[in-house]
Amino acid sequence: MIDAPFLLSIIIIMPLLLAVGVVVSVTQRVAIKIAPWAALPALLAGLLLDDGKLQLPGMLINSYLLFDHTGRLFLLMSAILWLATGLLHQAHSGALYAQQKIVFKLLAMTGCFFMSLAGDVLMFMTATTLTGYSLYGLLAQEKNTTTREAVNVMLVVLVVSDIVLFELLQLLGMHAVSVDFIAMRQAFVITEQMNVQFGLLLFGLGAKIGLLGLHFWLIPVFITSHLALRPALISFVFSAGFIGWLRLFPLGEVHYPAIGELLQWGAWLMLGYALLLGVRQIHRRGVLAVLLMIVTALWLSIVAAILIQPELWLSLNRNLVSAVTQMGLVLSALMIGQGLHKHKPAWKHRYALTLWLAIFLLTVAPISLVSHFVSVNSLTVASLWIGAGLMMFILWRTHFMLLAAAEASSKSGGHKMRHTDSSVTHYLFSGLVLVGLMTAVPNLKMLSMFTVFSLFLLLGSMLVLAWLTRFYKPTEPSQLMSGFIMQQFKQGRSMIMEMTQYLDIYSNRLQKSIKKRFSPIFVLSHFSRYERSLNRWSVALIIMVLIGLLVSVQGLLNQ
Amino acid sequence: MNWHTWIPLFVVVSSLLPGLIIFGLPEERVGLRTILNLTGAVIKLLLVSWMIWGVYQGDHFETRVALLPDLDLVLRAGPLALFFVALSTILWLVTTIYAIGYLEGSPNRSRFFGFFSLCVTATVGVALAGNLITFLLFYELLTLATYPLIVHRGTDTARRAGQTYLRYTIFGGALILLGTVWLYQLTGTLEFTPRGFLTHIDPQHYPALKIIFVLLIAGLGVKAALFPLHGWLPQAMVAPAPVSALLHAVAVVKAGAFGIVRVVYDVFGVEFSADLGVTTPLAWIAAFTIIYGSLRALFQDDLKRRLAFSTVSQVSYIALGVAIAGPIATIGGVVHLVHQGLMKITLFFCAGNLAETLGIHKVSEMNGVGRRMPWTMAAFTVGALGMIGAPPVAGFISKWYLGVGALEAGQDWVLLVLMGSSLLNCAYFLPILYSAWFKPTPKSWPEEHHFGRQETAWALLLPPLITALMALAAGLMTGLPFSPLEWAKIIAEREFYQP
Repeated sequence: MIDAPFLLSIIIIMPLLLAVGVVVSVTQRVAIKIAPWAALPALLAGLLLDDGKLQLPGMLINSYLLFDHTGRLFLLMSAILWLATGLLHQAHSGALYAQQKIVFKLLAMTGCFFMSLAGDVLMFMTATTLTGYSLYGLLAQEKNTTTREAVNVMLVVLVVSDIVLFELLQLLGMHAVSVDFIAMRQAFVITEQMNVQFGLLLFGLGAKIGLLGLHFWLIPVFITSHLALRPALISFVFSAGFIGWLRLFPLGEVHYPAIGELLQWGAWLMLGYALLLGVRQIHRRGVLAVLLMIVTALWLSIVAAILIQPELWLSLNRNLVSAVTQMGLVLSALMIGQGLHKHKPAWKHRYALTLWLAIFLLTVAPISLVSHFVSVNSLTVASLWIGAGLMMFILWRTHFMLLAAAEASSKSGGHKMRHTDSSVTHYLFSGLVLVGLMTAVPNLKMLSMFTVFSLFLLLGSMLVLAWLTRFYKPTEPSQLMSGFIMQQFKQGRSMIMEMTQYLDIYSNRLQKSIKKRFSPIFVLSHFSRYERSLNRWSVALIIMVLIGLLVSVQGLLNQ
Repeated sequence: MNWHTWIPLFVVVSSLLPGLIIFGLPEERVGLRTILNLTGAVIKLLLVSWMIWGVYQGDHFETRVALLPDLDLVLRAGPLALFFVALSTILWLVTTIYAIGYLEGSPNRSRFFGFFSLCVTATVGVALAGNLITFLLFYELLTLATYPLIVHRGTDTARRAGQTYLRYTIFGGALILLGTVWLYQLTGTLEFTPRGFLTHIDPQHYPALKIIFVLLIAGLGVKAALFPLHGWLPQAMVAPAPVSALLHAVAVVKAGAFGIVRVVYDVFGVEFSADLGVTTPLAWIAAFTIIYGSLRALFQDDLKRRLAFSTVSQVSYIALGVAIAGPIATIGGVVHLVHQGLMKITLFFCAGNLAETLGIHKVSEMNGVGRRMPWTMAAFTVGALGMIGAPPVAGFISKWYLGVGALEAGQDWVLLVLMGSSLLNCAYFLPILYSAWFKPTPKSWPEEHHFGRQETAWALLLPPLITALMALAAGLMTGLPFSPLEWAKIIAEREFYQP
């Protein structure tokens, strides 16, 4: 370990310098070549640096970078995922690698690293915003309308959630002595409006991790995003969502059974909804988005348990962070891996082995936490087992269905990757699963014999169940969703789509609406007339007299 | 007598003198005019830097000249005055560079730059004014100096806009005059004093003081574009881009907002104002203006009009911060004086660049412009994100302090206003950014001019880049000793905590 906290700054400065290098024509070629490796210092720092703190004099309001166990694991996860993104992007884009994309990528990467290292809320907000907007810029580079619509929905969700989060921080800021996370957590503890603030936190961070009701952006974005950007997307979702919870919410310091119980049932509801969504979901990338929802449901369940029994947090803390980063890495691996083979023969290759290992690692992550809850909270234990089972079931079912549909797709041919691209993707897929395995080691050691036995039982039963579902033939394979519940979902999604289209063409629409005198906006058109009338200063005088009266009345009331 | 006695006057003269000489210069003396403009701006900047350093060390800078019996013309450099002077001086230099590029080859440049310098002279006078009468003199001079700039193009629309501007501002000035005379008659003094000079006044005069407050705030509210007195501002958009930048970020609107700060803090005193019950209605009006301005901005296709309504909304943050009447909100309101200036001037410079280079005047014409003019649009993006309140641009810091300050003062409803305003800002700025960066570039632009390999002339490109960087730095480097935030803290400390 190296005791050099100032090296932390290199993690941030390097991608920013490269972004400048990409923009300046003299350094452009070199910067573009180095750009995929920009996450390397972060990876090295994550592996080599001691825990520490780096004060940033003059920056924001006495901000600092904090490098602790949580920061280290998330930084490592982000660095690995951004390296994967860089390499995939290079492999898939080649000479057509656009300058604008690299700049957005480097900015989003910087934001992700900042999120892992932020020591205070303002730095964290800055990082979240930087990553969110840059990632939007990166995803919106795709020219097809579907992708644009999907990422526009994401942007709306991000903007609203950031504003909500900002209001929460202001509410906490009133009680806090400073803006660092410790002071903010203390403010959370002493606040009298816990319900309101918890609600804001749930909305602000939940929107980023696909909380039920705020999840509508996840599936379209996961489905439409480019293969190379999927690890980056996971890195953002996990960093913005889970780090926020870990840093901002005083887990283990507040005893709030009422919210805990509510959250527990919310988690169960979300698991049920994810099951329905997952079973109906045919697109494999969509399935992975559903898995993220299950991860969120499990997270809520764990938070609920800690709210009911805060003492759990002490023993759970480190294992929970490991489990979350493990799930992030494996989900990314699955996101990359699912694009590799679409045909039956592929199942004979090493891909299949890696895939099974990935599924195992994803499902074992929540199960490895079960021991913490066994003696104290059976509802959480059940949700962890069921959540893991659901993830396994949905994933296996999808792959069995792929197996069943493989003949048709092999006949139809379809997109084939270049050999080199395929190799890079293969190596990255395997590499991410291996890193996931390494992350899982500390938690796997905690599994009891009973848990291992139960796990095998779960594996077997899910395999059988999944195999049975291969006989279910989807009628419209290209359709993403169907059925009554999906219709509801579609309606919700189309509403949001409408909202984002609104951003795009609202001015024309509104003008038409005004002309037709059909919309509530019609009222606003009257403002212009009123405003013109204000050009007569007699009107302005009358208004000012009225304001004067208002002031006098207010004054009288005060007296 | 020492230098400290004369420096405030020199600061005023440093732009007045070049302005007067420029008036007499023939049109073709471009070089000399440029030298005079830039020399004046640089000298002013050096003098202001000297004063900032001095005030930071505890020095006192004051020029006092007898004007009327018992009434002096006073120029005094306190923390609040220097805050505004520094903003005006820095942005004047940048705007001068921009104006030189913008007006290259156009007629009546001597007239333009003459009034331009006069306008800055008046603004600096407003900022340094040590009493209400000095303030009023420079405030009226500002009105007169700005009018020729608004009608500079000489078109019918410009003349109409100028007339509207005059009607509003002269009327506003008359109200201030009325309030000032009445106040002098009641108190016998007009000297700006930290925490006000009215605390010991006989309670029987309280009703009169309330009316005086309304007269002063209404008069100042005209220039600060408070609803319903904002009607002149969107019309004044016919003026050339450097004038728009001057109106919105450096001089006129800011002079109004600064005047409100002065009246509440140094005439009435913030605590006394709150006791009189006049700050709450001011907060309501400011809050309403914030939402109203944003709503109006949402439906403008003309880029400069959209920015103008955005100013109506954003400048009211300053009045809101003042009206909340708490130390933290004061920091938020006062610091927004500078932050809004930096962000809005960037946006107007960019709007000017788009108009001059590609003939783009409307939001609907901006599709794909980010690919054609990436640097200009990068600066625009920084300014727009700052207006939204996205970190780390300066607007974020203002909104943070305003929100926390409102909660501290028990005015929780302000949080909803800030939230609504942020959402509306997103709604009218993000579609512009989306169109500019992600929509396909059209085959041709309305009126394209080529500048070699550059996207536009250097004189037009550098100023928005500089101000965008400043807006970014003001948000990111808030902890540095001379940052706007640190300076605003000094002002708040003086108003609330010092004996």
